[in-house]
Amino acid sequence: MSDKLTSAVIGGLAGGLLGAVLTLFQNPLLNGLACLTLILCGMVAVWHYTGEHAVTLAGKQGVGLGALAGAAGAVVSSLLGLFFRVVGVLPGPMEAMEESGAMEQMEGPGLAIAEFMAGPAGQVLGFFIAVIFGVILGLIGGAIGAAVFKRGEQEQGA
Amino acid sequence: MVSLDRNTAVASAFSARGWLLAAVALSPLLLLATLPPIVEPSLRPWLMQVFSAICHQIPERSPAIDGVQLAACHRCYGVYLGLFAAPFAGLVLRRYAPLLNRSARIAVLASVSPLAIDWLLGAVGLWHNTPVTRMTTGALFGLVAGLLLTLALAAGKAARSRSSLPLA
Repeated sequence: MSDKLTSAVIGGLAGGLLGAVLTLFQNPLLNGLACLTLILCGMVAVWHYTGEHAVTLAGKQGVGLGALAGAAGAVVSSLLGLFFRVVGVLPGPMEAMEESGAMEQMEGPGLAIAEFMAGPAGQVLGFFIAVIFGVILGLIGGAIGAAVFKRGEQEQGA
Repeated sequence: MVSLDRNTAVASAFSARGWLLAAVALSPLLLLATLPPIVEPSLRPWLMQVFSAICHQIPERSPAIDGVQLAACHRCYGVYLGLFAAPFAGLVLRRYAPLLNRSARIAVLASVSPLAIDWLLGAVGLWHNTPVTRMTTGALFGLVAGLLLTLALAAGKAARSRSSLPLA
């Protein structure tokens, strides 16, 4: 595994784990931090890479690393979320909506879409959507990380 | 005079391709989150489902147009507004890219702090944040984060151009 991939995985694990753990509280305000945890993935990846190699990354390099870390974070978070639902720590999508009362407010197409998203095809679609968000938010985190964590000479190949 | 020449070179080397890439990456969040009141009612639940992965979407904490809730809460919507505006701000502020690069830590801290304080004090019940504070603090963070991304993607050629500048 290349050094950058290692840092991306570490960033993804850090942000993804945090995002998954926040869902355990089942507090909407904490769940709302999901986007920030994906930004955090990119920042952690750049922080780790620049720290390990005592280098400064160019903005573009940080963005690339961040995008990779954000995608990894979305994968980690989604897999952990699935695990939590399988072992019963978290309710399934339909149960969660029933508990929150959201199902009572749904009718017609909204209910049909909610049922689809709760099924296997919807879960796969949700996974890919999460990865797309992970990439977008991760690259923002990577840009922030590259601007903030400067540890030495600029790495070549920018 | 020397610094003006350098800044001019940085500005002229601002990569249009990089800028466009930043605009393309940063604009879909705002555009998609704004769509629910505009599209057919049957499409709204899809948009809400898409954004439910990254936003709590609590109705009383989310903006609405004509009574139709947007797909993100006030704070997220503010962040998306800031991200959307960032490439345009980057065009205006591209002369100051080196300054922003040098002061990135301060800029990030200054943009995250109001958001964190507004959220944290609200979460522990010490402060009743409002739609305006949530959206404004989100927008400030989004603007700075988006600016850093825009400059990162658009300034690649600037570094090479600067190095070739004759020093006075």
